Amino acid sequence: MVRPMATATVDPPSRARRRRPPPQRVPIWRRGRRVLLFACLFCLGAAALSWLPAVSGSRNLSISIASVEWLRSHGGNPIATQIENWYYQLNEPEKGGPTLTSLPQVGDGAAARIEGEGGEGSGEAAPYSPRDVNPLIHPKLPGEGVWQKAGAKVGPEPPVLLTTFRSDPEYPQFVAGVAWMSAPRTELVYTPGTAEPPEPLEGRGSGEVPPGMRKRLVATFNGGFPLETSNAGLIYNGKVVETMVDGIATVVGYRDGGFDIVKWESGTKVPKNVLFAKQNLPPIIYEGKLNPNLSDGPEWGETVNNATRVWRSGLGIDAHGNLMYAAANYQTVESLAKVLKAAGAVRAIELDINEDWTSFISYRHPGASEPSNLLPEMYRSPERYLVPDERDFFAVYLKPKQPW
Amino acid sequence: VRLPRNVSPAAARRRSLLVDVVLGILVGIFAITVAAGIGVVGFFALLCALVVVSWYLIEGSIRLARRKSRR
Repeated sequence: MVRPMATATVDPPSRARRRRPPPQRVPIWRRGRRVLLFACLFCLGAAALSWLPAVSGSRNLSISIASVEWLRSHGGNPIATQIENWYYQLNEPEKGGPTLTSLPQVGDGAAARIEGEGGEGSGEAAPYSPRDVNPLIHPKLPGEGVWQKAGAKVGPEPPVLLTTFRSDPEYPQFVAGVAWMSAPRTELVYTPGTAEPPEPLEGRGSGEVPPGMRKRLVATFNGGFPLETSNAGLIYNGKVVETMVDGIATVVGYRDGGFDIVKWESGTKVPKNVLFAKQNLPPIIYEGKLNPNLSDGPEWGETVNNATRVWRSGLGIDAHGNLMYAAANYQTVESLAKVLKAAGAVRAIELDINEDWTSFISYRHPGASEPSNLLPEMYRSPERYLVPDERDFFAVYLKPKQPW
Repeated sequence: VRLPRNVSPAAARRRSLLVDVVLGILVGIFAITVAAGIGVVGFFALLCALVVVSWYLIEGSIRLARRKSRR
């Protein structure tokens, strides 16, 4: 059967002539919201390109700390600081409360000197060792303020001594850890981290204690604010990395192996005898007196307020030129300075703050074996400076040919 | 080249989407240029994105709930 061919008798409706209904207009605020979302996504993508390498390249930092550091170093320092301030103000500790009944055990457990032995005025032959720290809270707890040897089986002149004591009579639960390092027996070395100080830096090293130096290593500790937030100077290997600022507290290492803490007055030039100099804020103790401006805000740097109670660390020097490191949680600049002064410091500098950066590690045996933190609450690993670390630090070595 | 005026609603939607994407990129480039650093831009972009995405989600869920209640 043949189907008849269809013949077009009815014209289809002409599309060309039909008018489309006008498209529904989207409210302007919806368009604006969409534009904002795309702008945010674009910015997030651009930021991610910078953030991802920063956090994935961090070898011993958690992603949160690495992110905060990235934010600080990419224009967000005021934001990070403000958020930190809010956080610490919300978590401010309350005064008073029950006092402690014992202190954390530090060091080898062997007292550095027996009553009446050594110390000042005890005879020329006796090696100097610091007097025990007078406790700030009475009655004294067992072992409070008593110097303990940091290393095991050390001789009669221990290079590093450690002690703990309650740091503030108004807060009887807070414990400060203090370390004393003998000037005649040790040398101080400034060691750059893998990221701090930032590039360019000649002779950076690997950001850890060099394996060849570990047999003489007795202690390591954090190195102070990053240059970005300290607004201060740095000399490394006798060369200016960041312009030095007069009036700022400075840890100085000399070419003859000596070290000191000074208020920098040498201008922007490098004195011939200076090997390294790291600055950080004004001195907190100078000429045996607390800085009268400890309760004054702005001069303590672009970081959390000086009165905010956080982990703080500081480095002092006693009247005999020996170094003293102190750290504790819930400290203000003023209370930290008082801790160092109580321990015998005559000049002192504030170093890093916050739990993420505060580390003092001593080594019980030669070869950097059995490292231990000064205080059990210090959460960074005791191995921190035996692997590459982002931040700069100080290493304390026995002088060459010195017995353990 | 003149764009055709009489286009389907779907084409009009695609066209406005393209315009909004380009505008968003321009706003983003401006923000990156004037900000103190990419960290600041990223921080505020993250906050803004969280707010806007939550807004979309809340709006969408309200619409869905209304549709369901009509059925």
